[in-house]
Amino acid sequence: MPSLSTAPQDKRSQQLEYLMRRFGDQVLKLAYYYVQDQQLAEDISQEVFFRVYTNLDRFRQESSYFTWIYRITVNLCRDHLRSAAFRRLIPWGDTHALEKLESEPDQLPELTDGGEVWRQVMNLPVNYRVVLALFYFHDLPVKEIARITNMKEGTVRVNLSRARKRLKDNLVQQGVQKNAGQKAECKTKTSTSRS
Amino acid sequence: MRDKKLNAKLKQARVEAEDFFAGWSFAPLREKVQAKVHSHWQQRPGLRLKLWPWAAAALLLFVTLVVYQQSSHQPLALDRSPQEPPVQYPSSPQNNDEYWLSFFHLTQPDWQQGKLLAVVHIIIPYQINPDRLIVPATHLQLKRGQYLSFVGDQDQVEIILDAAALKPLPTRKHSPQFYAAQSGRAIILLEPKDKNIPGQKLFVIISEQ
Repeated sequence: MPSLSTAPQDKRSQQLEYLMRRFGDQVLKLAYYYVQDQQLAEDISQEVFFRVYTNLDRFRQESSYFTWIYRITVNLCRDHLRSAAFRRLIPWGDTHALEKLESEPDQLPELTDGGEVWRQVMNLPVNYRVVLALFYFHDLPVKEIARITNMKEGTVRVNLSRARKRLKDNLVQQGVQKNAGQKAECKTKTSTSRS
Repeated sequence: MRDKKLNAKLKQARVEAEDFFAGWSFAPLREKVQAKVHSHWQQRPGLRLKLWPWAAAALLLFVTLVVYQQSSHQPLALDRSPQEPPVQYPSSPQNNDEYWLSFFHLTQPDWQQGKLLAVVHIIIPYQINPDRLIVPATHLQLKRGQYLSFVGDQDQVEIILDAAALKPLPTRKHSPQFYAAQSGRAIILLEPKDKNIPGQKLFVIISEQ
């Protein structure tokens, strides 16, 4: 990575261009893990890099550009999840629902395409699926995930463990239902052929 | 399901995720971000625009200071024509028991020098109606060094001083004048020359500065 912070002021657009090329796709994916809506994820990603640009002068190399940009993404996504538009779904006065917001599966995911396991991952509560995705799909260590998500490392580990357990249960449940469905289908076929 | 199998499922999920995101690219969004940045800088006020509220505030403060300074040097010159004598309004009575009045305080500006004189005159008007003498006060409070003038028809009223605290000054036509030379009390009698009209007493108290 070139020495970005020492670049002259008038080269900020170039710095931004570099950062977008370097991290744009990852930011888009991370935003999608949170909001599960492609259009929203794109909007958030654009806002991320706009903020990156406006705050480039204030970046003090205390973390890597990668961590800094990911943290902006996480914060924007969380802001979005807490936004009034999202809260409209919660019944008036139901404060517990708001508190559970990040630990329960989202109510507004778009129908996720892709494979079965991937869909099960995306059906996990947001904190679980983000940690799981960053750890298993982006190969980030727990320490880095903790920095990005502003969690303690212990919390990340706990979320990771619970995410695995929840995913396992869901996959087993899905398998049971699938087997049951297949058996029922076989029985129907058998009885039809006998008659 | 064992952990080994779950790990295998997660590897499968990773492949599925890569497939899912395969068609995604941030590249088309880069131009949008650059356009947003560009419009942001175009809309952003320049240094001049940014500083103008401060400049306006500084100018206002400067004007205020100038006006204040001028008014402190020449307090009455700004809003009065030289022909108008400046007027100080009477102070309120000091207590209810003694109805001491100070009124018609006129400061006499030295228009030639543009300065105010330190001397303060108190003018008492009087008038004879057909059957009585009208004087606007019965008690008066002066400070040592002040001047007291009576303005009225001197041909019809005789003004008599009954104390040493006030010193009579050479009388101008229609305006007998007194000077509060020392603290103390004095009585001034206003006696109409028409003996059918009762006179009046004006009680004067002179205090130190």
